[in-house]
Amino acid sequence: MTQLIEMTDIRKVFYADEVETHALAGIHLSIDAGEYVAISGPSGCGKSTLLSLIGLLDAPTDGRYRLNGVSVEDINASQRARIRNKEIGFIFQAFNLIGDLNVLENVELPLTYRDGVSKSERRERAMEALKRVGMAHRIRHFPSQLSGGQQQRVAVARALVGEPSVLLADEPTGNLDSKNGEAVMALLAELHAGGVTICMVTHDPRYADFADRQVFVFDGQIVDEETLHKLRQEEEQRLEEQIGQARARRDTIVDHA
Amino acid sequence: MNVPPLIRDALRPLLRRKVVSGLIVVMLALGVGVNTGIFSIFHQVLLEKLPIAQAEQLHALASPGPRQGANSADGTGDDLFVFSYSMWQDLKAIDAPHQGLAGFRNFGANVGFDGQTTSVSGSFVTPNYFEVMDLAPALGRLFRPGEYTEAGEGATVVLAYDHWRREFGADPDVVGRTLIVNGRAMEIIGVAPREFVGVNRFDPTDIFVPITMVSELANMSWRIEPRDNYWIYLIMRLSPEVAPEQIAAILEPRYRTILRERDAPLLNEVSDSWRARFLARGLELHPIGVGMSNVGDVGRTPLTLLLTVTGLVLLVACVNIANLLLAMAISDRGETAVRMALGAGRRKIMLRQLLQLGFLALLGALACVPVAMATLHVVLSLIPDSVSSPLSASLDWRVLATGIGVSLGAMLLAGAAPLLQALGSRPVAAIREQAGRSGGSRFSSRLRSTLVTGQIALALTLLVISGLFIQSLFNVARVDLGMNIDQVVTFSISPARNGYPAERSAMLFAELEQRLDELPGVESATISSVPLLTYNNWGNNVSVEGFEASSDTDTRSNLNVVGPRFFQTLSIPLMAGRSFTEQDTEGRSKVAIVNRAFAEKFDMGDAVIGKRMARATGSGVELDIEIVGLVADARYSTIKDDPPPQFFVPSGQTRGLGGAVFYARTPGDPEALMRAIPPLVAEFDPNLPVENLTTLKRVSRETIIIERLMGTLATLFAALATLLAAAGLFGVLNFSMAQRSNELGLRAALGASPTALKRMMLRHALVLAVTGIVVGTALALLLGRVSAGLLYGISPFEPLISVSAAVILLAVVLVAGWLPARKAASVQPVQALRYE
Repeated sequence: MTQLIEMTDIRKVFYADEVETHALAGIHLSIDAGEYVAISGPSGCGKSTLLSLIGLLDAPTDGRYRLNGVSVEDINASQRARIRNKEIGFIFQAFNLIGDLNVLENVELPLTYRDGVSKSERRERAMEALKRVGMAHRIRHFPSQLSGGQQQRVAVARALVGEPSVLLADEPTGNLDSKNGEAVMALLAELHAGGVTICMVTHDPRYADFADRQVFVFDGQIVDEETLHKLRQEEEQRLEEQIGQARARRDTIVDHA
Repeated sequence: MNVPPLIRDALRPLLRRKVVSGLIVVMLALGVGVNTGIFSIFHQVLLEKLPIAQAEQLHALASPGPRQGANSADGTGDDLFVFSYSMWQDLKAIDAPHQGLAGFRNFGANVGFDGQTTSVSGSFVTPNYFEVMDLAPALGRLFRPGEYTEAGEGATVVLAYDHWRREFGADPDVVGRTLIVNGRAMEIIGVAPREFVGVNRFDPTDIFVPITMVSELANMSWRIEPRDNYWIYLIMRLSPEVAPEQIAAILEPRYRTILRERDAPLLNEVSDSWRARFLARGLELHPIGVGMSNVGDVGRTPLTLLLTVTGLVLLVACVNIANLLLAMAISDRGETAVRMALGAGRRKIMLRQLLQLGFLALLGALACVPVAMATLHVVLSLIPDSVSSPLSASLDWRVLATGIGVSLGAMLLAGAAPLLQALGSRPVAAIREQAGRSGGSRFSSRLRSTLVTGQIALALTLLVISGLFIQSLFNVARVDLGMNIDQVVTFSISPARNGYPAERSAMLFAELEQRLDELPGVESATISSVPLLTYNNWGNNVSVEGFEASSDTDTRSNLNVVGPRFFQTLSIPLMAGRSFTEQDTEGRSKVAIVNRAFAEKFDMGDAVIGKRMARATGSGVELDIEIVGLVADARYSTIKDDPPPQFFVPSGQTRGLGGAVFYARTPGDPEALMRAIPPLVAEFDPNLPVENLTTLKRVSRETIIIERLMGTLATLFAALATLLAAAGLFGVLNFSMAQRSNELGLRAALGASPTALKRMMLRHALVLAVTGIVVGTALALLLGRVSAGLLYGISPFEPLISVSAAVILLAVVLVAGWLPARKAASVQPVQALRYE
């Protein structure tokens, strides 16, 4: 299989005043074309930061990143925008449809930023994408007139319309009830079965199981499942100790009183 | 300080946002301030009532239609407002339900007191004048109905209160003392009440004298006896229950009878149609509760237009304020929702908002006072002293109250949308939105865009109007006057007012002209009976050799009595024949010089020189004047009107000039020459006041006061409106940018390049601008039509000006939109992950 994403020793440091936060500390990650990868981990572990780097929404502080064979860690904003438009389709937790645009216009949006796509072609491709997600009957509706599940379907259509190399989904079921969540996961599975590469961030193990492969992130690093389990256990143990100490202090104060 | 919690709670957000609150106050102060300043002038010129009881009952009589004989009007009103003394007596005698009919006429007077002579403004009044005005004296007594009925009777003076205070130090013993008025001793009998300066407040009266003294004090054609001598303005006080139309209906038939029985028999050599029109003259009553002056008539349109212009500026400011308030309301929506969730009712929310609006309005009203004062001073500095001196440079309490009212109204207008926005908050929805996206509803975003479009439309309208007035001013300024007015000093003297007989006056004029011509630094000097470019006209019906005229033919020509070096001093080219010389005196054959317009009007062809003319018409008139010269056309009474037909006669052959205007050309500093003139005149008579000492250039500038006023103020206000609109657009785009940063991040995530984002924001600005420009062009066409009468040499629909205004506005819009657009371009796509 062709290697689509290849990240080597990727680091991301955020600077706020004099505080340095190491969000990612030496990430090595490869994703092949046609693969369905789930990135999991606890809150704040860096999985969304990793997704933003994969999707070229942000640039790494250090490390190498090749996307579809092209080195992209050190390109300017315009080049980054062009590659994002061509290679990546995004699905966000909160759907991120533009309220002032109707369904069709929302889906057409990525193509409006692409040179050489005529209006009729744009419309045709948007309609195709909407058909694929079962939303072709709602093209004149505005996002506020749709349910959450419908909005996420439209968002999936928007991600698909540019025929990107990879779909990046950031907690795609996070704002949905379980029924709609399952429907969206089924849709993604169907797309994957059709050959689409998917990389999904989720903290829900039920949905992570939909993927071919799971990548675990903990404290800015990729770990295997066993290590993650061990680290989590250690963390839980530390937490229990702290709770025990706190209770002991409280009892002492009550006795003195 | 113990501030009630409700007020403290309402004011806290304003204090927290000091910059935004400050901006609102500044914009309100600018918008309301310029309106208050212009309204102050508007109020003084057009609305302020005369300081007399029930001024609204006063009406001026007018009788439009043809007249024969001497007709003399001044800045008080047009020809149709003047009547003969006999007609006043006849109309007064008619039994009609009114409270009195009085007459007056203003005149210039030289007044001597304690050896000092000053030039003042006098008013001939009928004895019942003060009774009709319903005035009581401040000191002594006023004229009484029934006294002074014969010509020459009543050598008495009533002083105006201000004059008494200024010139006599409010001396209570002034009654009974003697005042020399135009060389005639008159007894001061009283002082008129405070603030009353006559009916024409733009020619404020210093002294009132009985109208029967006219022949004694005014060396003019005004006479008491002749029925065809029209010169008195008549004022009637109506009874409260009677309408002007009722009085007119009663008086008009009687008036026509008088015309038929007493005036018509005096007519000579008129056609039947002319006579019929003369006998059909009606009688109109015009309300003059706010006074009677041409300034009001001339100023009505420009002042109304200026008030409209400043009104538009205020609207632009209101839109800005509305946008700022809307932005504040949107960002406070969460807080408002929380308050509602905690139990605050809509009434409480509304009260809180109204308190905020009221507080801002109050601050704006206070801050508008200096702006209004500055506007007032700018306007007063632009208009000549003769017009501005009766106007007060301070703000009347009524004007201030109006300003405060407008301020409150403007805030309510601007605050209506934000108020509705706040009242329309639904706690649950707003709290939820507060957690994430808070860009406001599509409605409020469209409202903001519509408001900005409106602002741009208004700014364009003002830019077009200002462009029209600037072009008009430019056109007037480059009019070929037909003479050179640079480096020319002018002044006038009126020796007749000091009691000089005609002979002595003529000698004085000739000697002073000679001495002036010999003054070091003077190139050439001359006299003229007519002050040029000051809306003064002298005219005669003339007969010209070879020109056949019927009784209905217009044979009128303007006239000027001039000195030998008149054409040389003013650089008016002599085209044929000769100029006047020192030898053109009485006893020599009468001569005249005509201008080209005269030669054309009277079909003189090329053979002008040597033809004969007369200053009268009718069969048997002797053509006693020989035309010896032809000069090029030059402007006469105004800059804007084409040169009229004119003929000139030499001062050496003219007696009876009570006053004269002098012109002196200097190659040096005109100011230095001006300083030398009063001592020179004083050498002849230290008690002879030098009047209107200035330069001809300045005179010409004052002639185009309306153009300068409108050009300057319209430009100033258009610039202000454009700045406000630019600030408004910047604010809206900036706000929109801030509110849409997540959306912009999303677009970037989907592949929009920074340039595409920048373009998108600029396109948004341009769409607003172009819509505004289209609407503004239509508005400008409407307003242009209103201004048409004030424009010179330009149509109110000038495509080049509209296009230029649109280009200026587009440039301003692009500048205002550039910074938000640049900010938009720098939005990071990772922002999309925070979009909720």
